[in-house]
Amino acid sequence: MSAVGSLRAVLRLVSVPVAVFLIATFSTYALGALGGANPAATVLGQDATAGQIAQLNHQFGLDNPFLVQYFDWLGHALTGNLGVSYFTSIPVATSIGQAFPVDLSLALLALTFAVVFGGAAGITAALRRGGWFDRAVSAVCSGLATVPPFLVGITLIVLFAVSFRLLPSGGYVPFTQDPGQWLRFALLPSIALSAEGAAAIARQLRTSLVGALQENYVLGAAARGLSVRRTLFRHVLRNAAGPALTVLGVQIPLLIGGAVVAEKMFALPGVAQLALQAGSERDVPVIQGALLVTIGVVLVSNIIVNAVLFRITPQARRGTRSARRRVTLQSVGGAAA
Amino acid sequence: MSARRPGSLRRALRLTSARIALGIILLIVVLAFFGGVLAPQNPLAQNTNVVLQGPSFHHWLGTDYLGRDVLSRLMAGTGRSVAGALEAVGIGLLLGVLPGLASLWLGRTYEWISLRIVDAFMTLPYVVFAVAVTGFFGNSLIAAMTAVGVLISPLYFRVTRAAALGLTRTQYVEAAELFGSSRRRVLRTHLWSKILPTLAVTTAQALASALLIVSSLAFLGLGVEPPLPTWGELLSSDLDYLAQQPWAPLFPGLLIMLIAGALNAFADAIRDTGTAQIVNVDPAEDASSESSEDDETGAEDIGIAPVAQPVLRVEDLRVTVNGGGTEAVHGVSFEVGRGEIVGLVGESGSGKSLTCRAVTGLLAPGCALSSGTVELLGDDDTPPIKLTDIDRTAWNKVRGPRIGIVFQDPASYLNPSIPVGKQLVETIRVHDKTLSRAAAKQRSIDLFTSVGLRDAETVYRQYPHELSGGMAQRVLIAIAISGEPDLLIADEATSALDVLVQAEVLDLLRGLVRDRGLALLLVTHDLAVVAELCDRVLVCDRGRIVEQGPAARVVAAPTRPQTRRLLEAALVWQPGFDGVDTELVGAQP
Repeated sequence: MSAVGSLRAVLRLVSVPVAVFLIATFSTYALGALGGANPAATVLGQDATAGQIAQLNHQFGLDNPFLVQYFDWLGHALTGNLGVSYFTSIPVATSIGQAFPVDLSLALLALTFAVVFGGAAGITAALRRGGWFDRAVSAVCSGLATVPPFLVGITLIVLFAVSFRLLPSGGYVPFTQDPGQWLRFALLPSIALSAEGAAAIARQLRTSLVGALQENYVLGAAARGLSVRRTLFRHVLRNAAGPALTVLGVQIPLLIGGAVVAEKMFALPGVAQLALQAGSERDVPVIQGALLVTIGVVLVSNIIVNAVLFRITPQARRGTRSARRRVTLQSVGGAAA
Repeated sequence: MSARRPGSLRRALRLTSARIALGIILLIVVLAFFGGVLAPQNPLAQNTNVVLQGPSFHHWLGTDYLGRDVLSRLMAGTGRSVAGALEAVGIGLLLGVLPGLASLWLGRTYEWISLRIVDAFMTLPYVVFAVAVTGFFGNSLIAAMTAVGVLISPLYFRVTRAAALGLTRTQYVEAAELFGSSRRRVLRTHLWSKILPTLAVTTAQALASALLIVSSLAFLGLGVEPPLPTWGELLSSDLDYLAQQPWAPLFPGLLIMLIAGALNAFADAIRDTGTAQIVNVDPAEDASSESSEDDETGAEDIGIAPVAQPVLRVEDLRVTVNGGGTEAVHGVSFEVGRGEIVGLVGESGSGKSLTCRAVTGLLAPGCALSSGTVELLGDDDTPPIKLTDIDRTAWNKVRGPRIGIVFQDPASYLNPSIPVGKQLVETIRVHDKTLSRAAAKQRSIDLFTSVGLRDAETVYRQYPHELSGGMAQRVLIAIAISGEPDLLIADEATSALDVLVQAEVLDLLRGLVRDRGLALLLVTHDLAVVAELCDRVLVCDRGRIVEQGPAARVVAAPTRPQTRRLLEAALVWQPGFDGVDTELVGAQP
């Protein structure tokens, strides 16, 4: 691959996320402005004088033209300044900085569970296609697609916290403070959070593996005298992992959405609790900060997923993305919950 | 999705699962409209004497923390829960379908921008976005569901776009345009019939998802306007009293699962019955076509001809297909000797490929060796192996070091995402674990050079799709001989190549046999190739070898009608043969 080719490929990888980032942040920021929730109405109350309102609006920069407000906000955001809460006057970045590690550590643990359990289930099901394990995996996966996300969490709480009293039903200890305790508190929410992703990965991996195992190159590998294990892990998985990785990328927003529910259920002090609190108070800067972080996290994970895809499949490097798009579509269809 | 034939819904309803699903859906519809009326008790009536009770005669599903009847609240809550989901899906449908279609026809700039907007929506998690929107606009069911609807629209956008994209590329649209239909007319007649079933499936799935999202949001207190009940709100209050009533969330949870499951099952039924005609890929199709019954002419097998210095000996090989149901190879026996090129010829379906697969232990699932022996005979430094007796692990030491195999459509037999050189290195190092990576690389380049690949260093780094057919076949041959096998099996190895390249590859094979003393079993349907290359030929027909002998004799004076037929097919390939439209004949596989 030539240097120019690489550069163009990298540009393609970068230009889309940048455009998406701008569109997503702009539209969410515009929504915040359209909503009409302003500090004057929420903080000062009904007795405020016109002068007080004007002063407060000026203080929050709300008397500028909208586009100026947006770019001010975005510019500050990129330097780590997300404004201050209408209510507490605590910088939004500080609140999010405290809450974000909770979600990050939880999401990483959940992602690990999803990949390990979903991956193992998908591979085993594909290898024993039509067997009892395959049918069980299919049944569990389609079952999980109909289960409200919080029901898994409730079941886990009932089983492990209420009945057996093995794990706490809620609360949190930071990883940096005590990893052991962190795990005790993070285990149930992570499992609850991972269920949907694990099912999606298992299903997609099974499908693409079953397809890949019928490819000629699998026969070709056998004809070269490669063992089944080597063929599976060095060749088939590499080609079949693409769609599963794409599904993983699609799962990340869902994981964050699920984290909101998990945070509430397990009383975790994460970004979602912050946003939920801010939402009920119509504290616009905090909501926008939480949205920005969410968008950023999703985009960064998508870039990572695409970079991995780019590495493992030469087709992606050539730029024939039709196959990948098709897969994305299926996975979106399957994972709309 | 075959909507051109009407009644995909009716077809779907032939499935029991679809009927059950539809029944559940109808039940929910009834509950949505009349749940409040049908409820046995007032869903809002509190009774502090019966707080948090279990199921009883009076309260079938127990009572909640205010002593309200859970069953009545579930029934009364159906309407709001379903309405919320419908609103979200409706908004998604409205915002998604037309822009999705437009993205295909309004030019590349619009396409790029609309795709980025869709991408942008897809970065937003439903729940987070709904939290934000209710924060911005105030907490109401409408606001929450509008937020969800906006995020469902990318699903419709993509599904519509994909369905239409598939359509614009199908031949009947091209044909319709060719025959003078205007573009708009083509769209009107074909597009909607193609897209509507897709939209039906998507809508069923989206409704299921939306119900789950509505309940998730209600669980968080979004879109909930107490005291009016919804399913999610019921769940949320159950959570607070989990210690007293751990099984309480079960009822609303099960109800949501039931309806979501029914919607998904319904979607599956529509999709499956719609695509059933298309998805008819039977991997054993090729094999089963070989199981045709014997006919009366020339079906008896002829005996084995002794060969000097045999490398491969096949005796009375029988192969069954269709899971043992049908015998497709009826006792084939032959030998291939060192330095000998043997052609195994026959029409497709004659059993030659099955024989070849059985010899290499690569029979497809459903096919099995029912009797007979296959033996690799050794020489001074290699022991004989009875291939019919060995297990899977032992085969890995046979394929490669003892038997090399080359296929038709060579590029497809290589891993598409690994450079071909690396695949050769891998093969070499799997069979010779003492060899260093660098030494294996050097050997690979030497091998590539020896099979006539110019610029072997470049080929080494190339991916299979970057090679021409002839180059890919040379690569496959290099891999096949890398283990220095005694026997090379070429399964239609030159059939897909054009005539000049075919001649070059045949030359290469001839040279390999001469220089390395290989035994070559050439499986082909093309007697011209046999005449060109082979020492001896075995003619296969309906699972038996019906004629064998020196290639020159068989080609010049065939004794069997099957051989004559093959010969006639081969002759039309010769240049200068008159009277046959070569273009038409060339279309045969």
